Amino acid sequence: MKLILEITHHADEQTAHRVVETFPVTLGRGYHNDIIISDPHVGASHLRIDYDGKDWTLTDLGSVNPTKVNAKPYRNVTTRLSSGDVLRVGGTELRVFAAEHPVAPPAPLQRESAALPWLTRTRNVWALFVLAVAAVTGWSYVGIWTDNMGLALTAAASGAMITIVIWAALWSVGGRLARRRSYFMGHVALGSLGLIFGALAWLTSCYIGFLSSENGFSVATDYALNGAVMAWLLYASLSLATRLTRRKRLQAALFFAGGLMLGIFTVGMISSEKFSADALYPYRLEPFLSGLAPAQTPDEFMARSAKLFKSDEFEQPGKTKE
Amino acid sequence: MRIFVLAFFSLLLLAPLSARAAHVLPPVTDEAQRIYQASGDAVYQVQDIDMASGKKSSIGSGFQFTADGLIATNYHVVATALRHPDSNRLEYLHNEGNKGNLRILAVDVVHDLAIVQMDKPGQMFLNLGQSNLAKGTRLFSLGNPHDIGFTIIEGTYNGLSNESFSDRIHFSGALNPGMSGGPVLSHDGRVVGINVSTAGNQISFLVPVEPLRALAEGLGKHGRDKNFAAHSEGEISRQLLESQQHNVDTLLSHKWESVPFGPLMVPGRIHEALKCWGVPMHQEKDPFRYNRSICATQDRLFLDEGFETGAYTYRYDYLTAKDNKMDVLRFYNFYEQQYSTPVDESSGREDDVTNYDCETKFVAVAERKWKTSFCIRQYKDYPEIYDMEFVMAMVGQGREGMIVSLDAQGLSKKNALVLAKKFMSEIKARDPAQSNKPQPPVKAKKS
Repeated sequence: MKLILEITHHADEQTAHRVVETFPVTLGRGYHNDIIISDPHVGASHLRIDYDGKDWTLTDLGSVNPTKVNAKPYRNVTTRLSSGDVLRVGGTELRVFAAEHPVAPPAPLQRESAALPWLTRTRNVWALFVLAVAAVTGWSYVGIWTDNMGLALTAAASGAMITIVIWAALWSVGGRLARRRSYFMGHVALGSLGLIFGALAWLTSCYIGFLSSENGFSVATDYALNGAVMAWLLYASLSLATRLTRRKRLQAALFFAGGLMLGIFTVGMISSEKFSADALYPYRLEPFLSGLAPAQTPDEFMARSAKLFKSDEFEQPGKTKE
Repeated sequence: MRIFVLAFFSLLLLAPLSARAAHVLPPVTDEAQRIYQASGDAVYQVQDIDMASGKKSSIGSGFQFTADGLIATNYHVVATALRHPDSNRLEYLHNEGNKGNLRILAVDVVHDLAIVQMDKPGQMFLNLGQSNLAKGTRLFSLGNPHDIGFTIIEGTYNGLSNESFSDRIHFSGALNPGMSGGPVLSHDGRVVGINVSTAGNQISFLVPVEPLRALAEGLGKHGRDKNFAAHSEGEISRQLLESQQHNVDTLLSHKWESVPFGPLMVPGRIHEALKCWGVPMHQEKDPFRYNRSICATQDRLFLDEGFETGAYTYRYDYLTAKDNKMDVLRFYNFYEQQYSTPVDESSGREDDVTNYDCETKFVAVAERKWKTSFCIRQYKDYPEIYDMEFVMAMVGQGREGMIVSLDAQGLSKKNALVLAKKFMSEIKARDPAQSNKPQPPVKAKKS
């Protein structure tokens, strides 16, 4: 009966399949063997597999490194093999299968993202890169107040460039290791997009904070927006750099982004409990859209403010006269 | 500046201050000598003793005013011992070296007075007079400045200072740290006031003797409470509530002065206890114009080291971008930075006050929209008392911004709300007819 050996090479982890139909079959580093394994940890004559018409048996031939079957060492002994067993011979892993050994249903084909060719096109990468650097520089122009604006803006622009390049370099090293493709330009595009989306998220949360006076809703949107940008960036970068399934990529991205947001939230909660002698009122001001915010009358505002006092003995102003 | 220092600092300051004092003091007449001989023995140094080291941690002065050994001094001299009885206690020290323990019987935080009981009454005590004197009357202040030794200083009565909601005598004489709580006598040797603070050089302030007499009479009425220190919070709380009610009633009893500021009419100097300044906040090279007007009370009530109350401060900031020098995004960024800066450096520590709690909404005032925050914090030892900070920032006016902020300490709940509301109601749009602001030029349509 046919026995299929799945051999995973010790060095490059490439797998190959050998179909064995005549027994006994010998395995070792020596060239007299039926199956030759060029692994320095494998003995010249390492093992033999026999078939008695019913069962396969493995016999270790007493090499320096004993054969392991399902992680259990066997030296100079014979043991029965069943389909699916994992053998360890030196640094090489073998799995033995009967021809009728069941296999997992086929995984649906992972479609390459349609965005990938677009993202890796040089012209688009440069456009996104320039846009990201411009976004960071513009943000600095609005936000930084110094006498030497030229220096500040140069620092901001070069900071953005260096950040994107380092980001892309790290991911492409990762991609090289995990997938044998670095996609450097693709990661430059993703890093740039990350900065652009980050800037948009920041702008959105500024306005939501301004219009809603930094209430619970605006704080929640703040975390949601930043978390979403981060999760998207990780998901997209993982797609480019690894062969993980969509589900795994999504899990990793959400886990990391969610964890980071939770960490920031916890630190924020702890520091908000700290004593401060100053009144920390929400001070966000934005030049546009203030027309969207509903304005209260002074009386309505003071009635709301009265609720800050926890005790009920308070009397509404105006209702009582001295 | 309080004339009350840590012993350590008094030693450091000793040399330069004594040199200056010699230079500015009026010539001492024989009368001072007579008064010192007649009354000096009733003056004591009041020491705050740090129980851990057994050494004095701060000093003030005091004087015996009854035969049975009551000493009058300032509240701020005894505050540490009152509020931290586990770590600090009080001792008196006489000229001749007698010393003994003091027990706090009554305090008046509003007038900064305290009455303490000596464990062994001294031989001599001073009689209380009255402070209604003619301007220029010669007065004699006694005390122990900088722990140098008992001293008499000659000066003149210059009427009541209007810098405070409560009465203070303006005394032209050189009070120095360590003299806090010492008596000020007139020709007849009677007490007319108590040393309390100095504004430098010869400008000093005294508490009139009348509140001390009232405090002493209150003592007699209820019998002496030897355990006053153990439950002083209720009494101090009552005094603070009464004082803030008096202040707010005073402020609300008359029509507020309305002055133009930027595009609006705003409350001006609403009481003579406040002083107002106008400050330009920009330089020639800046791309914006920024003017600030600030009004503040000069006097604060001392409650504990690092914890004062009773100050009212309001501030107006008006900012505009110079033509074409600043776009609206940059302007708003600058505007936001100014808005985020608190009005006053807040006093109070974690042991004294809670964190501020704020309500923030957009409010329509003077035909404009304002981002408005009303913040309060509660006093931990006096839970009926709050500090209030009220801040408004005008929005939606392009490259024009205005911040109105009001910081009022030591108010009841009701008065915090009343004052904020009154303040909002006093901010009005300028009558366009009276406005001296140049009208924007009408753009001619090109045909």
